Amino acid sequence: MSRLLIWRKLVNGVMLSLTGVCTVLTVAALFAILGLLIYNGGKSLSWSFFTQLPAPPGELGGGLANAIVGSVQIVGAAALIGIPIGFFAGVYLSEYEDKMFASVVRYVADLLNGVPSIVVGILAWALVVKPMGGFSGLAGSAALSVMLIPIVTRQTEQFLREVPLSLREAALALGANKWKMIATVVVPAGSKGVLTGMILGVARISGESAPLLFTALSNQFWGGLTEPTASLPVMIYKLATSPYDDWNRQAWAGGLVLIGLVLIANVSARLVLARGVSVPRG
Amino acid sequence: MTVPFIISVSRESLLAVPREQREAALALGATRWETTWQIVVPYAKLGILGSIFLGLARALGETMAVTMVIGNDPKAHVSLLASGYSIAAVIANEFAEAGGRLHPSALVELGLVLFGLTIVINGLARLMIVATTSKGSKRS
Repeated sequence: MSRLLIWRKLVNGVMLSLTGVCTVLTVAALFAILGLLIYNGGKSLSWSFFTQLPAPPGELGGGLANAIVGSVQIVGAAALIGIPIGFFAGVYLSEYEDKMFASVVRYVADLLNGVPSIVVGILAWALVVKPMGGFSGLAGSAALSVMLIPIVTRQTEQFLREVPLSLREAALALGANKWKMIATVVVPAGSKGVLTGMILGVARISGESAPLLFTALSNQFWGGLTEPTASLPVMIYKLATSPYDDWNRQAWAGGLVLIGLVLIANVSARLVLARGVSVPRG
Repeated sequence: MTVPFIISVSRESLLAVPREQREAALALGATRWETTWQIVVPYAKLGILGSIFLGLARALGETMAVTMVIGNDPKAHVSLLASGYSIAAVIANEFAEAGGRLHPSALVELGLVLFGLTIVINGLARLMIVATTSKGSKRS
């Protein structure tokens, strides 16, 4: 072997292993987060954590029950607003496509997806909090739904596009009109992917804290959609930046619960998708 | 936090590189690294650059993680090691308590600046990514 060849092989080996090392580092970040949360938050997890209101500073015990329920309320309402809009927009982009217009919409949806979450919070503040005259869980839901819409739209579109043309043609040949074809053939065929997209979108917004800071605000007690409501992410932020050790411990536990919920959602979404693709190829 | 974005988007761009390009390079005797670095990466260059821009915009707008560690010091420092402040952090810290007319307006203005910055960066990035992925799909 010539010296050049040896050198090239050496470079090849070194660089390929370098890419491997970077991959390992990336994966390690996730496990570092998980490990830290379990190590620091595991100790504070108890039954009362899920059932009690936060304790005043200095008192031991207490839980984040209101934040957990509040998160479910806010995210649930956001999903009710955002999923239908995003889904139908996705159907439009995939099925009723007017080429030029659709690509503009797609581009704008991608841009909307990249808008900083805090700016979305300002939008919800101006559109919901100000006219309604106060902070409310509903304003938080509005902010989160704005973030959810582009995610669901793009996912729905992407998975409906994968439904083979032959299925559509078969439906149309049987005399179905376009709407019937979409509702009874295309959407059911792509339903697994679409469902996955929705779960991933909801998981993504449920960890957002910035848009809730000055829309849903927070609350030491039970909230509701019409009043300031505590949510897990905002609560974690408040507890983690507080000077009280006990609150900091609660924040770790809250983080563990939040990441647990999000991971469960993510993994179940992947399982839905992995368990047999409903779209016949070809 | 920018890493996952850069990974998934540049992966898409790299996957859009036609198979023939790789095969041709390998057939000419290039090693795997040479194929990757001299053929595949240049082909997907624009998309990878786009993914980095996307990551940059994401980092610009990131609020909570930054607010918790940046130190929230309203004075500007040259050193990266000193405490600082970011647009998103200012808004996060002050908005809920902003009273009167001027303070909320000023914060909304800050939001506009942040929005403008990220829209421009994201807009460019998305154009680059679209250019790369459509180039790949046209030829294959």
